[in-house]
Amino acid sequence: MTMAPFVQLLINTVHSGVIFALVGVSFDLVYRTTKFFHFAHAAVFLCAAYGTLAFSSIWPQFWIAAVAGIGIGTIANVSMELSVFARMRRNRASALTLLLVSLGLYVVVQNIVSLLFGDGTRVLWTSAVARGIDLHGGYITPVQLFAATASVVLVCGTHWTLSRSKIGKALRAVSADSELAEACGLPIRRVNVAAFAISGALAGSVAILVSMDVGLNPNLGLQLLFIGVVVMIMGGVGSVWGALIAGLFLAAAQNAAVWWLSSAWQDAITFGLLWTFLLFRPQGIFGRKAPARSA
Amino acid sequence: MNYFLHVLVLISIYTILASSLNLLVGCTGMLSVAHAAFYGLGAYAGALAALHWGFGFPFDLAVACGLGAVVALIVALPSLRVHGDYFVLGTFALQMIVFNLLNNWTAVTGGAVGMGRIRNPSVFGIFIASPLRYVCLSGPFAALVVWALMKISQSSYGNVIRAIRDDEVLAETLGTDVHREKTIVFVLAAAIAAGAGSLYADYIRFIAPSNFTVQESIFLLAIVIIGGAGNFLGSVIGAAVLVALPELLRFFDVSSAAAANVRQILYGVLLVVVMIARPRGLLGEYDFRR
Repeated sequence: MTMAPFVQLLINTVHSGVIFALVGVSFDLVYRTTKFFHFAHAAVFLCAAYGTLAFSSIWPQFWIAAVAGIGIGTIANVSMELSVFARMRRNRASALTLLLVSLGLYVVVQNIVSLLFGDGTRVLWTSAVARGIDLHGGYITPVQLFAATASVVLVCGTHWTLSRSKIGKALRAVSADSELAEACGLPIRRVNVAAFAISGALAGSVAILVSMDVGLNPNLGLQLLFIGVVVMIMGGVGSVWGALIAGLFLAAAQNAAVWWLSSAWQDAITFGLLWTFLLFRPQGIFGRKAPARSA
Repeated sequence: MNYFLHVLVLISIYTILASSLNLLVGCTGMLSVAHAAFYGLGAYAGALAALHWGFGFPFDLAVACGLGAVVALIVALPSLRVHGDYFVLGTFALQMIVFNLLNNWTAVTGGAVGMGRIRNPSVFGIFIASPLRYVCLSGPFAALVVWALMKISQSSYGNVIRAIRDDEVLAETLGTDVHREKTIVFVLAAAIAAGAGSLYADYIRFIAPSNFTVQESIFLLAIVIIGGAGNFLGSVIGAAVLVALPELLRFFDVSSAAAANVRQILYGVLLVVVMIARPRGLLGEYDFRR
């Protein structure tokens, strides 16, 4: 047996791992600051990907359509925060109330997308069929290479923004203790909007990167949200490096399952990992302390 | 007339689903988005038991409930030990995995095309095929479930789980084993939902993974919330209204594919509006404020 299958496995793992990490980071940004399960994050993926699809039929240059799509995702996320969540939070709504509203918003958006574009899989990006780039016996297509590179850049960029920039520091302060942050004079509302905006832009980017490779259907949002939730729990809430390692770890486990068992086992493996983490290390790889049992 | 009875059967099945979810969400304050997963597991378990063993309807029902309970126990073990929000995240993961499993495990479940040719049940030698006969089976089942859940919620045990809902830390301080009680409620609700799945599969005789999606879980939550969390009469009314109302769409000129989307948009909007304007719903006693 040659090394080739292992090289291919490694390439697949790194490729999907960094994408998983970006999905996890985009979900985590809202969760860490507002502490509620923003289910309609799945709708943001859809808005960006289908927005790009709609715009790409108008403009010949794909990158303009992609930028417009990311803009739509960002605007969708921010407008949900501004029009619904911010107002409800002012009325002292609980995390469960916000989640239920978010569930309703997701259902509405997904069904509008289904009505407008149909339930079938659509192609976002067509390129000439090529063998892919040869990397020591393994192959990767240009689109996949671009998606992986862009994901790494965005994950690292998010880490830099959070650790160095003013807005990032404000975001981390609100994540750690929003009441204390408010008492220190931080504009909580604006910080929350910023979290939704950055999260929306990242979610939009990753949805487009994934759709360019495998196409898109109205179920894409849920599948990505699922990955995001698993990666966030495994990596630990509020940890970008944790998400990166968790993404790679999850991708490695899934690829190994596909290789040695069959693709049907992929989800069983994902569930097993999540189950093990929840039971033995609920704070995730890099989580600082165990989450309190009660809100 | 048969069509009217058909809607009645659906209402009775959704009443079972919604009231069991209400025990979880409304009485105990545990929000789950995996109820359709248990519903689906029960439907497939019941249908497969009938197909491969054929010991009759009560046996299929028991297999369905048993599988629902076991899966719920496995899931409850880790996800109930941690933060309240993590329970929702865990149930969401479970819902996605069960759907993918039903969709991809083609050898057993038939995959995305679904499972057909499920036999109608026969109880005490009476073959139950027509909607009229089925109403006579599912109606009493629904009544029994609602009655039993009401009894539980009015009993002292009902006070215990409501105490967990209203203040988990206080309940724990007063000596309640919060983890144990939550597990019991979760397992019970899951077993009932799985039983409803078996009833549904035997009636419709064709099941596909697309019947048991996240959207279906959200639909069940919408019934509970709109009817009123913590009130079982509310769940009955919620199920009746939300199941029957979209049937009116048939009388308008909407294609059947679009009707499914319009139906979901309707209850999505309803859920958002109710949560913002009146979180305790029609008859509810709990508004998720904690």
